[in-house]
Amino acid sequence: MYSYLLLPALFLFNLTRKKEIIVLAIYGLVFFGLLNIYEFLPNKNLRIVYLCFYTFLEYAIFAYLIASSIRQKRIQAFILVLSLCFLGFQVLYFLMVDFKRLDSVPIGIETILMFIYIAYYFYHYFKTGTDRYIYYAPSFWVAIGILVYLGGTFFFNILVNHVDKNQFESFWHLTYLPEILKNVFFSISIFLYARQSKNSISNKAEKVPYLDLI
Amino acid sequence: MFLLQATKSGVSLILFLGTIGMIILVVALVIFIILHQRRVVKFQNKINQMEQEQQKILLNASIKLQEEERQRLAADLHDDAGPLLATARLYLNENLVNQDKATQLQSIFQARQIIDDTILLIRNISHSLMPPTLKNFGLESAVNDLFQKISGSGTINASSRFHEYKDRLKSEKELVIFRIVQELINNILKHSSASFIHLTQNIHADKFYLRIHHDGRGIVQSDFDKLNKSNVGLGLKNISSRLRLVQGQINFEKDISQTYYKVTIELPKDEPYQ
Repeated sequence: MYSYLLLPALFLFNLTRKKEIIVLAIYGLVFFGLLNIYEFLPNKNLRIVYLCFYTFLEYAIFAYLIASSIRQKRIQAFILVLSLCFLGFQVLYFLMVDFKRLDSVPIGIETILMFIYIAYYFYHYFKTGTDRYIYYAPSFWVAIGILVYLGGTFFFNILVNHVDKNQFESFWHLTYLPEILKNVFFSISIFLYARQSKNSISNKAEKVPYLDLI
Repeated sequence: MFLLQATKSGVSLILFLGTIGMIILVVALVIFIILHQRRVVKFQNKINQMEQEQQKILLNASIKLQEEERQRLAADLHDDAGPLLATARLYLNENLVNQDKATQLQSIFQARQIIDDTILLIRNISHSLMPPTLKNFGLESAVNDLFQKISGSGTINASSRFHEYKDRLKSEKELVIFRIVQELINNILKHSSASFIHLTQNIHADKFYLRIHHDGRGIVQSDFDKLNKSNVGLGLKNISSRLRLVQGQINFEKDISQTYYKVTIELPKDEPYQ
């Protein structure tokens, strides 16, 4: 859980106004808070609302980060439409299905949608034929973080409503590894986004020579 | 459904193996993407580097050729036109008024002769820069004119035939082709010891073709590519850069009978010359 604090900490350390860094810092801060308040929720209904909100917020942030890296208006619009459909489905699921521990089906759909976006992201990256190594791209680390996190927790999230309490307790810890890995990869991306931003500022400065007389 | 119907221990096993499997799959995918992209980037960088080197060679060749042309022009003007004008000035100097009428007329006549020679010389220099036949009557006339002049020297049999050239190419394209033909003919005259040169032109499927045959010593495509990449063969590099300008291609080969060498120029035929 504390690994989420890495993201706002890195933001404070770098202090750049790049949108992606701000989103990642907010993500770290908000989800750290959300994970902490879960235990204090008084009733089941509130927990259900909380879980649906958690899933959608997580999906929205991941989708935003991937869509902003693709930079194709049509694809971004497509992701937005799919996201609205996903939100509609979540509302229906919330109203019609009573779940035990987690909203497995929306999480499953979230995972599949994110895998599709990430597959397109890689396709787009190769198609645009950049001559830089992919691991220098901050969006690559975001995509890898999401892949590791959603891939690593996929089976747990799908089967969580079909295991007993003991099994749940023992496997719950297994999800920590992908979660920590995701936050580490997101931290790497913050670091790279900040470096990219600094480079672009210094490049701009180099283009304009010193023209003042004094 | 199978996953959801499994027994308690089965679910645990599926959960554990599934999670591990997914992590392994993601890690393998990441490694594959990184390695594949590294290979692609390395290959791309290599191609870019080769292209840059080729461009550099071509640029150097064209600059060198331009400089040589300027030197030739400067030498022509300095060595030929300069002395001629100086001589004409001598005939028309101040002492002319003090001389008798017959000598004056003689001097004026001499000066006029020299000025006529200078005009002819300057005209020749100007024609070598931009052939007037090409400008006024097009590629066909300019090439025929060039071949007639070569043939007129009596040392080599040169002929040309344009099969289909009703619609002229753009004037810039004509000039580029004419310069390439000039360079090729120059090379044949200098290096091949050929006894005949023949040029044919035709058009096929929106492509313009020119072919030069000669019976001397020649080069094939592999020699041309090699010379193009080396530091020698300035004229050939110039041909390459001119062809690139008009999106054309050139092919050097030996005839099936192994008697003649063929040089074929191919370029896209554009809209008719206005």
